Amino acid sequence: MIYAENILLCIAIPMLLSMLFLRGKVRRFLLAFLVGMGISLLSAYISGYLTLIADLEAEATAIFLSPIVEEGMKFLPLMFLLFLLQPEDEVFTMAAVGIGAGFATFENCCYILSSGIERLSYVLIRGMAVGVMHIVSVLALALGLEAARRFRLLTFPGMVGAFSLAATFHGLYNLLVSSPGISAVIGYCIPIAGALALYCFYRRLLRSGEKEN
Amino acid sequence: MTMETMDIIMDLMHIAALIYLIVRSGRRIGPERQALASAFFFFAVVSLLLSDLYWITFDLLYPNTRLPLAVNEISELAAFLLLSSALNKTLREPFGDARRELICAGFFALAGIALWIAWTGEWLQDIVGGIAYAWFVLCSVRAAKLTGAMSRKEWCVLGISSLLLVLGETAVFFVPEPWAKALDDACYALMTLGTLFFLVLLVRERKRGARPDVLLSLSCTGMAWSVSSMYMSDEPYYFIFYLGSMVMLLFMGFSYRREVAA
Repeated sequence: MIYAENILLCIAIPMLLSMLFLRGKVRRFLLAFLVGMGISLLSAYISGYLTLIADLEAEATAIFLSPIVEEGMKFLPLMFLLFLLQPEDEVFTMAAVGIGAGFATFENCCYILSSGIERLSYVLIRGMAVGVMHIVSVLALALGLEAARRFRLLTFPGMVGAFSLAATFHGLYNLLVSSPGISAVIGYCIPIAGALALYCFYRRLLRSGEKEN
Repeated sequence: MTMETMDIIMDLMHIAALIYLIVRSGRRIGPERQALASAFFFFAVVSLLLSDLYWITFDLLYPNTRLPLAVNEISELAAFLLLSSALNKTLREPFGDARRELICAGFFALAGIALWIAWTGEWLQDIVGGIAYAWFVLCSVRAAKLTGAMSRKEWCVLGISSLLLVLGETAVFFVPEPWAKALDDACYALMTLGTLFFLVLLVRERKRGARPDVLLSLSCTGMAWSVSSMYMSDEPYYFIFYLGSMVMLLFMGFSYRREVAA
């Protein structure tokens, strides 16, 4: 058993202090990173609560419920940003990456501390897979919303569509790595493949933005 | 061939059709009205593909296990909403009187949701997915009425078939066993005839060179019927309606292509 709140405080306080001395994009990124860590903790609380009331096992929660809860929690700050602050695409993408990185960092810290894993190879695989997966899923969400805004599709179905892409991608990863063997290997490769596909989509989105300008 | 093998083959065919539609519709996304419809359609197909991949993976890793509420339900919900939005974007005359048809369609969709709950006992899943499905049915029927895709006689045939189907499927719960089986078979025959009815209408309108919005509204209404039949069926009948919904989806893709080109 670990106290996740204590870990969050230990990581967040130096970051909060360092924000006093930072300005501009770096400060915004750090803020998004902290928000990502915070929502990771909140997601764990909500998933834990749902596990109890739905009477599910931890593995079933990870496969079925966690992707919906975690992506839903990442979705909320992005919606706040999009509708209240209406940032430019670049700032929005940066905030999404910060939230994803913060979320993955905090989740990895808690996982490794609670399970006491010592094998460097496993830690690296975990870092590469979960770390990249959280960034890819939130980036898919952000790019989906950016594309929806650009093509004037930012309606309720458009937002549900963007959310479903991120949640299903996350769910598919969790499902694949839940079982050892070839499925887990495919699962660990999926975030990297997703990152490459998103990179291509992002480049295309940037090019279409340049053409419009 | 076992039902499991058949199931996998159908899923793979569905995935191949979805990938084809993604590749074809992805190129036509843009800010124009028709291209916006294509963008909604593109994202709907991507959602369906991810849902299929999740389902296949689950079926392979955990065979013979009932899937609880999971992310694929969210994808299906999103796909229905996106398909409805895509269809609404293509309507050239968005206002008109379709009240009678909408009331009948609403009754059919709600009765379908109630029957799914009665069969599976899964309240949350059926209500969440059912609301999006009902919205899709309403949008499809409204579009079919406003575009004049079906004649008065054809509306009557569809209305009577829908009513008979709902009454028949409800009666299966109450009548004794030998009659229930016969009634169930009659419902399957009706569902198959309904799917064929939409296919015939689509082929006829295509031959006549109908406008793309007419073809779209017909393929969406046909898909609503096939999906409803799919959720009401057991294997092997399920595969017939699965194939029907696949064909309707492909028709939709062709129609969006024509809509963007128009």
